[in-house]
Order: sequence, then C-alpha cells, then structure tokens
Amino acid sequence: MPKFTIKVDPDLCIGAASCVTIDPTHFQLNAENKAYVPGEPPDDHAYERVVEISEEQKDTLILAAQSCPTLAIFIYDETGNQVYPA
Amino acid sequence: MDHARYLIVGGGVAGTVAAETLRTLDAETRIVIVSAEDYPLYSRVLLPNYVKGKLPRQKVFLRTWEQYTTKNIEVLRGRTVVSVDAAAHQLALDDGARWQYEKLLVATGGQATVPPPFAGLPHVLPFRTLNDADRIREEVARVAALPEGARRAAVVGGGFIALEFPPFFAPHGIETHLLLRGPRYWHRTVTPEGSAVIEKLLESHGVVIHRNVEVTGAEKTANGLLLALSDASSLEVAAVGVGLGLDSTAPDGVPHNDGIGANAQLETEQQDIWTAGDGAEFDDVIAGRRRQLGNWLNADQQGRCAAQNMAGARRTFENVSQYSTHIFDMVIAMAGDRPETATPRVVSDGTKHVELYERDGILIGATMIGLAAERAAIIAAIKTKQKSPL
Repeated sequence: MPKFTIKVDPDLCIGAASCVTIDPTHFQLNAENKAYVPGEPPDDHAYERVVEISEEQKDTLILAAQSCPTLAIFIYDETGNQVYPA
Repeated sequence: MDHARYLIVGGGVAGTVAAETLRTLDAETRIVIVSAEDYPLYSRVLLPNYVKGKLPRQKVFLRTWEQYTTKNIEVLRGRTVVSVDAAAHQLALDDGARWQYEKLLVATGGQATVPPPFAGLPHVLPFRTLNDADRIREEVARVAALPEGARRAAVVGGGFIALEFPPFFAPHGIETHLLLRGPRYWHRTVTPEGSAVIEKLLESHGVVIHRNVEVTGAEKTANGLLLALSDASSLEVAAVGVGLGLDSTAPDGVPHNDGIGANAQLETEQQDIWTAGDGAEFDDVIAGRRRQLGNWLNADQQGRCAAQNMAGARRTFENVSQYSTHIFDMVIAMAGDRPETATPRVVSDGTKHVELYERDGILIGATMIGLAAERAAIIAAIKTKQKSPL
C-alpha cells in the first residue's frame, strides 16, 4: 500500500473539525482544539505522520483535507510531492 | 446567447467545490460560475478571526483567480442571476445577458436577514460576507474611538451569528447589549442549563443580556442609533450587530420557501436543476426528514455530491453535519441531528456541557459547549452509529 505524509499546520487549524468528521481514523482533536494525526504512544499526538493506506482510504483522506475551511491540512506522497492542496 | 454545459449560480464553497468536482469528471466541457461577490473562494469560517485582527485579510482566501483559470473554470464576477426558465434551460443575468445551460446548480446560499426597523439605516451590521467583515472592522474602530459613555453597541439575535459579535466589541471597551427575542440565549436549541453556561460566559465578559425584547423602531443619532424596544424602553447605541439568520435567495423561476427544495440526491423538482449549500432544503436520509443546514462542511459536501449527480451519478447525500465556533475561547459545537421535539440527555459540570440526542441507545446528535478533545469521540460515535462515549 502506498505511503503518504499527513501534516496539520496547528497555526492554521481553528478546530472546525471537518476533517475529524470525514476521516476520524486520521484526524482527532487535542486539548488545544487543534486537529492532530493519531498514532502509537509515545508519539500519539503528532501534527505530522507517515501513514500506509489503501486507495479507498486515500480518497477519504483527501476528502477530509479538502473540507478544511482553513486549508490547514497538507498531504505528500512517498517522493515528497504535495498531493494536496494540488 | 452564450452556452455552458454546466452553469453554477453561486461562488461560495458549494458552488466552487461543485465546479472543481465537475472538472475532475469532465476535462473538456464549459463550466461557468456566476458569482455575486467579486472574490475568489474565501473562508467564511475565518472571517471572525479577520474581524478580530488575528488574521490578515489576504489569509481568508482559499483560492486565487489563477487557480480557476488553470482548471478552465470561468467565473462571471459580481453578477447575479435574476431569472431562470427551467423549461427552456435558459437564464438571465442582471446585466441583461442570457445563457443556455444543460445542467444548473443553484448554490446561492442566503442573505443575512436585516429586519424592517433597520432598513436603510447606517451602523447596522449584518455578518455574512467579506464586505460585511470589512464594515464591521471599520465600525468597531469608529465606535472604539468615541468618548467612553458613547461606546455602546447592541447585538440582535439569539443564534450562532449573534454570538460572534460580543468578542468583536468587548475587547475594545465597547459596552455590549445582547437583545434576545426569547427568554434565554438559544432557547429553541439547548436546555435552560445549556443557555445558562453560554450566558454566564457572555456576562463574565461584560455583556448585558436583555430577554423577551424586540427592536420596534430605530432612528439615527449623532453617533449611531436610538433603538426603541418592545418593553417601552430605549437604548442608544453606536452600532448594531445583526445575527437573525438568513433569507433564502434564489433567482425568479426557482421555487423556494425557507430554502430551495430538493430530494436526497439534491435534485430540485425542476428538470436538470440541482441545489447545494446553505440554501438547500433537502431530504436528509440520516435524520429522516427535510432539513436545511447552514454550515461549511455541509456546503462543501453537498457541492461535491450535487456535481457528481449533475455528471450522471445517482448519489444520495449522506453527511454527519458539524459546526463549531469559538466565543471568548470557549468552543461551542453542534453535530448530527438534534430534533427540536426530542429531549436531550445532559452531561454537565457547569463549564463543560454536553447535550446528547439518542435514538434506541445510539447517539444521533450532540450540542457541545466548552469541550475540546472529547469532541472527536462524540462526532465519531455519531458517524459510526455507536453509543455515546459519555
């Protein structure tokens, strides 16, 4: 399965939670009301993470990024190319 | 007469996302957006931060004009559609131009309601568009510079938009009066305990709350307006923030009541006309009734769904709606379905306050006041039709 890097810019995120609603697997909210990318402890609250996902999961991830009203979510492919915002 | 296969009325998030989705499905055909505002897509969600001075104006824009050009999406800027002839598949613009379309999306949203006592008066501030935000900034600066006794503003309305105004006014030493038509803030939306949490927050920032009162008249004064209130009192203010909801706007020839009626595929009763966004009154298959929702996520998702259906799909719109705002650093959010007739289960410690709507033990909606991290679990439970985590 292809790998993607998901990055949330906490300075842009206002906690509107559109991403959390669309793709709760890859986005959660922290105590500062910012979206983060959940993972395994101890690094479970990171704003940036590499994930290995199926095509279907990729579609949901991109949809979540597109729904952000502040364009705070960035997605890169394995070669570092920015997939979103395109 | 000009011709476009896909014509989209409205340049907000629903219309823009629809155009971009259509372009991914159809690389060649002509796609045209008619936009009343002369701006590329901007984030209405970010406007409060711009008004508060936390964000420079250029940061509210989510697109550049070049991005429309690159995608070969034409935009008729600063134009409105005045009428639609659905049978002939034609429409007329305010500049007299006529267009032939094959598929039409009406995503015109709505206009902020400004009630009759305020019609034509200065210092009356609706809050819907970037131009509104510019005006509010100017007025806040003007009022903040007045002598102390004259630095007073009113806010009319008991909904989400009305709540945005006190944080605009209060930090500038502007005495803020919230005028509620009902007995308490959000009296149709939350329980009395929920209202109390929000009212306590407002009062802690010096907001004076007036209940069961309406503005019956307004006249211009040297610095602002003298408001006549339904309890026979009066209030002299320098500016009035208006948060009374939206008036549906649709071109003549597109039937609408509170909104533009549509089925679960966002198709209106008229052939080859779809609707999306704040103005769409659609059959919500999750709630099991016709609903109209005014929030960013709903508009984004509906724009996408309507576009797919315009291109020939038959997708049913399904979405867990979600809206949130910050008022003086408190997050207030709503998610899912919150039927007016249902009584929610309240979990509250007086600061963090949640109202949960459940059906057969499954969480279907929630109002969340003062929650941060817990919000994601509640939204996830609604989306996956689980029991409440609280």
